[in-house]
Amino acid sequence: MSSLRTMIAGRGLAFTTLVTAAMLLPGLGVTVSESGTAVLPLLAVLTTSAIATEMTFRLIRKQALTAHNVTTAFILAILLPTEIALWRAATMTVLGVTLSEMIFGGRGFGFLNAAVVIAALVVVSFPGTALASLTDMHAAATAPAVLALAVAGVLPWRALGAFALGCIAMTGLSDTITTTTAWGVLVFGGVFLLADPFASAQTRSGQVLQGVLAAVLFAFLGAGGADATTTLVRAVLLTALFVPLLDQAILTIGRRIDARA
Amino acid sequence: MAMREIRSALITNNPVTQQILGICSALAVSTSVATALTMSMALTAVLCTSNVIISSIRHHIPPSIRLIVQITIIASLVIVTDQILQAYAFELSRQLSIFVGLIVTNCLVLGRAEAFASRNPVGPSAIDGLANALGYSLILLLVGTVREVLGQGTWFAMTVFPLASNGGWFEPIGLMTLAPSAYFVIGFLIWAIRSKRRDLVERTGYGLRREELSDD
Repeated sequence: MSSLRTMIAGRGLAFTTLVTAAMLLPGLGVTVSESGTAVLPLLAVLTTSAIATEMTFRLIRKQALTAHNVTTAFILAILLPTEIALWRAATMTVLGVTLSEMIFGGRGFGFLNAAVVIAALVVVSFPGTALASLTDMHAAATAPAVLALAVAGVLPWRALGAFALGCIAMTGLSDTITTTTAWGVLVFGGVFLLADPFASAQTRSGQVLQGVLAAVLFAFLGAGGADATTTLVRAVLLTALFVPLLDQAILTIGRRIDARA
Repeated sequence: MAMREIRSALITNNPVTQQILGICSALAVSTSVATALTMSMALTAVLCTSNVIISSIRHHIPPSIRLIVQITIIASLVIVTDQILQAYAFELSRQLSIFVGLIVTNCLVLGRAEAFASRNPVGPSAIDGLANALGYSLILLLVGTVREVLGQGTWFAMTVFPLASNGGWFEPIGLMTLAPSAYFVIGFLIWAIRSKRRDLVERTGYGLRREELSDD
């Protein structure tokens, strides 16, 4: 089993949160410069509701207070449309953080990325809502994050690499991947949604399979011409459901090989 | 005795949240309170009557064909209920579509017939049927309330939140009209009940093995 979780545990969840949040700031900057300061109230509401949900559960469970979901709020401020009604964003954030993390005991215990779940909930709950389209600028702003997160040891880079290779392999099959606007989504989503250190596969081969599966699903789900951001959210969420199974399969195979040797 | 039965079936031994029976219909008909209430009444009628009938002829049913006999009795009752609904509440019966008919396959009805009515006297069987039906109804109405209020902004078709399309502020949460939301709501209910009542938590059936818990 990969030592990713051990490594993160060694450095502390707080460290991971801090690095990730810092690496999201350039992307947030791009969103503010592109859609104006209208995103700031949304960011405030998202941050408040995400952290309030997390803290409420930790208070009830008599655990030390944390604010890991600050990263969830940052990611969502970039993903959600700026004009979304604030109460919608808040309601779905509370529901999503509860469903994806708190049910399992908090960050690091579950297998879902809260931001992915919340974005999916918004799309399903309010038909007609289109997620924000990310630009090449978002891709550029995310590039340094790849390096920083990898150096900090909190990036499951195999998943990201397999996803990138998978996307290249699937190019031509899907309209979504070939359009230029998909770049921002692919890079940003690949790093912050798919390659989540907690939600990604915990075995090395599992991470590779996860990346490939996400790329294949992205190509197929986007084939109908749906917008790239929504397609990626769907692909990552669907992949996430299979990730524990992939890990389990890899572990079983490994155990059989060990037993034979 | 009767009151204790009923109280137990409402929370501690609730057919939906504790025995996890009748889930399929619970999610199908709980989009609005009106359909949930109709379904609850139909199920209560069927469950009480079937428990009484099966219990009263329990000594005359050969064990080898008891399931067939039970299903036949339940199916007959369901058909009667469905016909009555179609005659007197046609609109509602159209909204419930096949789900009244599907009470036949509702595991709750057959479950109580097999587990209780087929080996207990008529009186207790009637109470058992009523208690379980009330437990089912309670959950159905709760889920129906949550789903109708959040999904349509109404309760029993009365406005709770004024809709934006009618000049109000509320935009219905579309998720709540979809079947998965019933699972979410029931799941949250079970979670809340078991956090409050630790004694209702089952023992872990398939825990992780020691080597699965260790890291490397």
